Amino acid sequence: MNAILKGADLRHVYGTGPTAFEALRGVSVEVNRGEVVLLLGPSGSGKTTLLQILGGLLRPTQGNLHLAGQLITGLDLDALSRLRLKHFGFVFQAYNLFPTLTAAENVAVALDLVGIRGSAGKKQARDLLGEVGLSDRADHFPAQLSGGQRQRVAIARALAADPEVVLADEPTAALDSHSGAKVIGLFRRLADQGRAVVIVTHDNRILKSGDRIVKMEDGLVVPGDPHAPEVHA
Amino acid sequence: MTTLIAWRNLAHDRVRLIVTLVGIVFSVVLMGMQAGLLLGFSKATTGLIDYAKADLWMVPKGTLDVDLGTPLDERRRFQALAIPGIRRAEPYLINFARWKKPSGGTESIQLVGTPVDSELAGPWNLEQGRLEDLAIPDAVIVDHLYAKKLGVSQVGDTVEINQRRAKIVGFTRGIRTFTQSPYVFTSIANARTFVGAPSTQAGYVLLSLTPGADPAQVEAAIEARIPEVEIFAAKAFAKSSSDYWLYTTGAGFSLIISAILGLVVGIVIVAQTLYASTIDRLPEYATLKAMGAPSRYLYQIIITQAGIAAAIGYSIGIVVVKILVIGAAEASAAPLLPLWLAVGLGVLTFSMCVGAAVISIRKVMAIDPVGVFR
Repeated sequence: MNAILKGADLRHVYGTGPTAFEALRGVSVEVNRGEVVLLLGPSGSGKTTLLQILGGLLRPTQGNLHLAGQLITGLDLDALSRLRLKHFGFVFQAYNLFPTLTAAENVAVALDLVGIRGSAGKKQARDLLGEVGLSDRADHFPAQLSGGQRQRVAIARALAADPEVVLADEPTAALDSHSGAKVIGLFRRLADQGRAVVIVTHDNRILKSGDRIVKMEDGLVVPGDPHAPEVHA
Repeated sequence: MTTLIAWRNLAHDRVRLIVTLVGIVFSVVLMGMQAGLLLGFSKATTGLIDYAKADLWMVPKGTLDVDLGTPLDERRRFQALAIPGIRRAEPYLINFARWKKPSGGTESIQLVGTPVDSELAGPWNLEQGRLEDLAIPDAVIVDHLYAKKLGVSQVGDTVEINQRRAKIVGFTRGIRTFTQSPYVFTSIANARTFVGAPSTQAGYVLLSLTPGADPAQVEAAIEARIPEVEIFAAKAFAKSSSDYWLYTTGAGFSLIISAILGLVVGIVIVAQTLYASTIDRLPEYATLKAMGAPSRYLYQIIITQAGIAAAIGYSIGIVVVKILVIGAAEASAAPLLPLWLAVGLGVLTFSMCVGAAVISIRKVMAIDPVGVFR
């Protein structure tokens, strides 16, 4: 089986009583190793909730999620935290870098979390920045980098623990087309290395880069050819 | 890595860092000076007892403080000498008197009279003159700290005590009084003359014990045989004297309350600035949580931040306190800074800063990593 993530009948309800809102209404989804999956849909369609559940940040109200065959929906918060550290890399629209740390130090924080410290951590942080083409910006602070460079630092940070799954939320939304293309190129490369990449996006520029598009609406996956990289939102 | 993040968080906003450090320094200086003054005053109230070599003090019933003695018949000394276990008994007289300066004007003083051949008491830290000179009629020894206040500057100066001529035969260094009436040392014979007391009057009887004697047994024996007196072990009398001045007069409470205020101000400032710094960094902390950082990793950053601020603030503060203590060495109210107080202040400062971090930690505890994808 090539699926690294497999969600079945995922449901999620925010709140209780009359104000309760069902964000996911029974979504089944698979993410395979080596593919870039694009999650599309209008605001409120449930794609961010799905991304949170797939990343172990949010426990579904109902349904099962398996990571590499292991059921993870019943895990407690600490276990989910350890799971995220080991298996997932996260990339955010606003980069979420420590503004007071250099690019290399931002990556080194993630390495520190998985126990790679000292000179080994410093070297690996620079290697990871090299992988995203930022060797010459390792000692720059986020404020001294362009948006695209910051996002590449965030990607290098996401790769620190050598995760099997990379989850990205609107990673190109704040980038110009040139920077966006570079970032998408990096995601493509990560998938080619065998990682699963899930990207929530509204950015039409990157639709061609996905292996598969999952379109959502009103908390449900809209039926379609799951294997065709459709170029419409 | 947490240390680096903590330091950068602190150093990033210089104004906030300065406010934090000013708060901690203020707190350390206030606590240090108030506690130092408390110790200094405490020492001043017990100096006469601490520097005497008596094992026991025989005092008139009801006496609480060494400075406020009442007459005690010297016959009690002879009665005490008859009790087994007592090696030596000496009369000791302390009495307020009026000092007339050579240039005019008067001051209140405390005359302290001891036998010229005393083994148990008398002036200490003698810088000028000889103890034997106290045998000269009207001879007195004063402390350099109060020389200006008393209008004298050298051996040989003459003054009046209770309208009797007195001559300076020596100076001591660093003998302070809590009452602001300087101690003036003389022989017990001179003291009796100055205050017009009969030759059989003392204020206290200082007792030393024979080797191996049990102080409690001797104390009980004296109190049984001489019911008009109370017996204090030297340490107990020192504590009673110190407690009397520091707590019954309110001086001690005001110093302690000031020190507590310093602590409170420090906690409030550190808590406020640390909290503001944590709020600024919430997205980063949420990101770390989302990445899988355990909660203790985030607490470590905040506590290290507090620890670094404490270390810098304490270092500056304790230097300021030391400078103030050195500067006040010649003043009549001298704060003290023994090593244990410096160490204690350090522990208190770190506890204060780490305690102030609790509010920030509670904020971080409440972070939901889900928020990073909203």
